[in-house]
Amino acid sequence: MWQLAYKNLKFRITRSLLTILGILAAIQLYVMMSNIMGYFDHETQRQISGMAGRIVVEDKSENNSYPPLNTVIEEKSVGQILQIPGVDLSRSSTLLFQTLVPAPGPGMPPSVLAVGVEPGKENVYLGNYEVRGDTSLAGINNAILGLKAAEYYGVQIGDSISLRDYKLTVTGIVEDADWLIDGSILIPLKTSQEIFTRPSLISAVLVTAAKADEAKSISEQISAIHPKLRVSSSEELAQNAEKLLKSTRTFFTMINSTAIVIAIVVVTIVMVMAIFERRKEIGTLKAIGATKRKIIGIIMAESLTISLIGGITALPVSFILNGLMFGEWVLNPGKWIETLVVSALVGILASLWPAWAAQRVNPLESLRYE
Amino acid sequence: MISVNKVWKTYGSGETAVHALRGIDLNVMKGDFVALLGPSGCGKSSLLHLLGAMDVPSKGDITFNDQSLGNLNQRQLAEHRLMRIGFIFQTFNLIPSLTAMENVALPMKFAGVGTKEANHKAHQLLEQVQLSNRSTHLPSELSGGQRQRVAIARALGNNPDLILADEPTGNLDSENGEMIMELLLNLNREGRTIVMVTHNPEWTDKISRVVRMRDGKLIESQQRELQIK
Repeated sequence: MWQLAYKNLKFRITRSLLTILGILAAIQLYVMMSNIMGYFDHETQRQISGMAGRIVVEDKSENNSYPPLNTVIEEKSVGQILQIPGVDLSRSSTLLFQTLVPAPGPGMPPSVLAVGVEPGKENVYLGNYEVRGDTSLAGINNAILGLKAAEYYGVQIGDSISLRDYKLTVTGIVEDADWLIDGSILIPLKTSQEIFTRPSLISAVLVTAAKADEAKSISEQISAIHPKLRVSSSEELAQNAEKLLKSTRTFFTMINSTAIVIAIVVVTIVMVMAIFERRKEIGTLKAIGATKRKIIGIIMAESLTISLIGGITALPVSFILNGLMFGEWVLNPGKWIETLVVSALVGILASLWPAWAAQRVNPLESLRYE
Repeated sequence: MISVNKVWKTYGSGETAVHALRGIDLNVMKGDFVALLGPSGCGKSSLLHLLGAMDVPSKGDITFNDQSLGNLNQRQLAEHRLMRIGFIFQTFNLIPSLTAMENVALPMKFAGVGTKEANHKAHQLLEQVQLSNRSTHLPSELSGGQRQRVAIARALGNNPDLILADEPTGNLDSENGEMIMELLLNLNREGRTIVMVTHNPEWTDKISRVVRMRDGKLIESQQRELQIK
């Protein structure tokens, strides 16, 4: 059975190679989408955990997301917030966000964004991520860059960058942070207000309660003082991020399903064509004694072989592409097994119709002379 | 060994019905070499299909070693074809992707014979048809006569009770046709039962039994004593 399948694929080598190429492309798309989804999932979870215990105050028209990029509020109007008893001032700050390079996809943070933060309170935004170089924004022209933002501008510590003709010196670079911080350029709040011509305006207030159990009461007090502002706890932000994640997962699942369906259709078309051309051959097999089950087995073996070769070829290609896209040259045996299982599934599903058609071939076909 | 009792084969129904066979009676004994002779459309091939269990009669019954083929299901019929019948086709019908030896070994593998044993026996059969030096060649690399010899070797794979040959020399020149006929006659001399459809009356001189057909009926059956060379 397997010998016949293998020999037949070898005999029709050009068609086999083209089919394998089609499967490779579809499986490759599946692997890439899975990887991107995995990255998305991981980074969102990381960002959510980085926000734990925080309260975000932003304009109500903002779509309950973090960071708020589309609205601003008066700096003086929120002054009272930081005066509320129980607020940990050292871990609370006003922030101004400005997109510099838009997000690469829906539900993702901007590729590069400027973040104005009160000097001395950098950790309110950065959390516990490690900073190489100077961790504070003591000078008005200082900037701390996330790894990807530094890569984007091609700068190292001590280099200068220009934001709207305003020259800043890179004093620190954040090591291995979540995707939001990776793309951030942290600058003093006043500097950011000046660069982006937003005098006395901020995007949000990030508040941390001195005691975790007081967070709810602080939220309620802020809401009472500023009914026009949205007050979101980290749990609410997490829920929102999860919702976003869910819709993103659906999007990627749709692309993945489409890739699989394409692979199945490609193999099915090739197999159906092959059966149409080989009716006489299949008839001969039946005439010399092959049972229907044997014929089904031969067709399934052929389909499975071609799909598995496509899947196996996709593994090193996905390894290289993954490395080039995410800079991670890691072998993931789980992913590889999943890819092979998906390829096998493609082979089996794609063979159902052709196998059914093949077993119906009448052995008398082989006796009808050409 | 095989008995055909009042067999009819009708294609279509009503006014458009075509009777390919009209009440055929035929007995083939073990060791017979039967030539089915007749003009095109006389029902030779239809009868051969029925003898080979590839088709079922519209009326009547065919028994093979006292077992009625009408009682067998599709799987049993396939097994019957595999183990008891050896087919030789006019157009050879070798699997183009398999070598000569793989083609010969194929029915044995279908019958569950291990690869090593099947290949060994295939090699022996190719030797018998004087093609052992072509065992690794694809059908496309063989001449018509060589392909038909491979097909004969394939038909012998599972040591069948009956060999059915449908115009085995029809696609060959006279020299190769002669060679194939000699091969079939030798197989018959070894005791194999053969039923062969042919157009060519020349071959029938060497065959022990000639059955003539016309319009779906047997019109003549000659049994001759031939001197064994």
